[in-house]
Amino acid sequence: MKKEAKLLFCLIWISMLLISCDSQDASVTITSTPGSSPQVEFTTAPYIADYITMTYSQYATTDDNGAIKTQILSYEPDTKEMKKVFEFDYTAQYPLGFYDKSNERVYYTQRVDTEKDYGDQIFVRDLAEGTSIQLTESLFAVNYMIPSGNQLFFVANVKGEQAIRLGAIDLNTNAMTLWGDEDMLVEAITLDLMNQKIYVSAYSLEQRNYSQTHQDGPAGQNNFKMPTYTVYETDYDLKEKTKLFSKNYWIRMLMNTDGHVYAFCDKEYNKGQDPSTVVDYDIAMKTTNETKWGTVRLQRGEANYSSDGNKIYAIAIVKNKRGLHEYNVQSNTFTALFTPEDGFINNIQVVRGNH
Amino acid sequence: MKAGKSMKYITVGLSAFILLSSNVVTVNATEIFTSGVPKIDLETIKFQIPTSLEPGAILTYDVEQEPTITYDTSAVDHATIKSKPNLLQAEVPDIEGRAAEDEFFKTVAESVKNLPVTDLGYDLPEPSPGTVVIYGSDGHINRIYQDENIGSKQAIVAADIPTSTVPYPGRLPAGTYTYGSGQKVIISAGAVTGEGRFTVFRAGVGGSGTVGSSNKVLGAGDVATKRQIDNAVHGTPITARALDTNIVKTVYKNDIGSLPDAVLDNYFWGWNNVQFGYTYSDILSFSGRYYYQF
Repeated sequence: MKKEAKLLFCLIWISMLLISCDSQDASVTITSTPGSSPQVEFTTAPYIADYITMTYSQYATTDDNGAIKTQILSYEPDTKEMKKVFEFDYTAQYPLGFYDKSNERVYYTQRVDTEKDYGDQIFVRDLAEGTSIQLTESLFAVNYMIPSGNQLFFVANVKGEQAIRLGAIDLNTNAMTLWGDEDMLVEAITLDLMNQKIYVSAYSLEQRNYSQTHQDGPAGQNNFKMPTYTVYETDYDLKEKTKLFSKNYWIRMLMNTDGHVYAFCDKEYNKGQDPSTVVDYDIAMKTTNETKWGTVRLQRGEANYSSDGNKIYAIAIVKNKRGLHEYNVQSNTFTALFTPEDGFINNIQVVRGNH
Repeated sequence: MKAGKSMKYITVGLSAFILLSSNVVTVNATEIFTSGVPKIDLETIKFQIPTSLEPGAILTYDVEQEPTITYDTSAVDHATIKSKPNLLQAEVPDIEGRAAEDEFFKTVAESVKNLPVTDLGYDLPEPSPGTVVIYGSDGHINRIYQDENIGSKQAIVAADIPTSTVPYPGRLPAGTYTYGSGQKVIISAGAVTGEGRFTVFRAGVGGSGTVGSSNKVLGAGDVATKRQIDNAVHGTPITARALDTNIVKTVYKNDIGSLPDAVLDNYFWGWNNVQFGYTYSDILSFSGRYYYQF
């Protein structure tokens, strides 16, 4: 091949590479020395595999009455590597932390007292710089924190309300947006990072209060009428409020994988002996399919699919050991990943990597 | 709405308490109670909060940290309130379900029998000016709080707030946790059970649950669990049973508290309504147990 044609071919090849790559992820360096073909160095954003961020509480000392700390742990299924990312004082009502590996940050909650009141607030810490910033002032108790892009999505009780709200914090401006209204109690969420959607299980405070005050008689049965739980879809702006389906089940946990949202439900509260019901919502078809979860109970504290959809990571008790397990969907088997005896896994979040 | 009493005075700062706005009786160090409760030594109490006093007693430490004892009259005060009829259904005892629930509690206890039993003791703060202790209808402690009209907030010893300087076990390894006058909370791999005293709280009393004092908004059916042991998500549904009446209810955890001598603190359900088989008073306490699963 003539020299000019070779060069042209290289330039065309380089152009094609540039077009096909996400400009945010890739950079190209071309070096050229006289008399030789251009050399191309192609660098991409660091590959992040699936990992599970966990909130874990353990005694800080060997003394059973010693101070305890809440830890944020990170487990990577590919490498089976477990690391302790951050440790902070246990002061919040519910131990909650989240490791954002791609930005090397952690989010965590701490009780903050003011002149007139108190509440658990969200903090963010830059792990490289070692500095923490308080992001909120108006929350009372926080149940979820999941970052995506420039936002931190959370589920919390806001001071002055009885509701439990889904909200978002713009990490550039610190502005907070809330979804829904004061009659809403958000029970669970799951994020579809690819499509930038959030799926929410929520029910009505008014309905809960009615059920709560009318749960008597007749004898011999549970007379508490389960409120209607609805799964909604919303967008990252928290403007959308599309109702997907409703059930008179306790929709206590949501998972998602390619084109599907899975709702884990119980027909009664605190009846874990009965198998859960799984409602599989097909996003494209807008249909639901209900089945019984025929194996070990997946506990509250979150669960979700791996990137490839073949595994579910969850907190479960298998062979009398409670901890983080990997459930293989095809073979219907559980593998224990982390079953500590010294501490307690409070909650987990599956963070799907950038494959 | 005030009950007639032969001896009464209004203590300084009384207006700050809705609870103490009615007529009260003070007791000096030498008075002996006719109920059979031993003579109270106020000198001892000055430096140490007693773990029990006469039912319904309200122990207040004044600016000099001198203890005074008054008595709750909230139930009597509100007995004449019949602003609207009780529209709720009558509660029905759940006797049939008791046996199955007993079995469940036994199973949970059995699953942790080889695990440590941690006794947290009473874990009471030292009294300071403004400390107020409310004793329940059984004479045990219902609530400890700081009256900011008497003593500054900074004087609060953090019995309510675990900090890194105050060693506090949290809800950690599975096991059995005992405290107070016989409270027991068990954490197993799949559930939390609590058995002991149920107490009550109301907005405006002891700084609890008030929009404004804490910005918390609570209602009937909301409960607080003991923060040092129990830290479920906000809004966790809990199954609770009053053991003497066998009334079972679903309640929701929406608060946490120090609960020095109780397993569950139940928010005010109204003066007219009965819950768990009991009429509300600010010093109500009764035997109960609760559970929830993961």
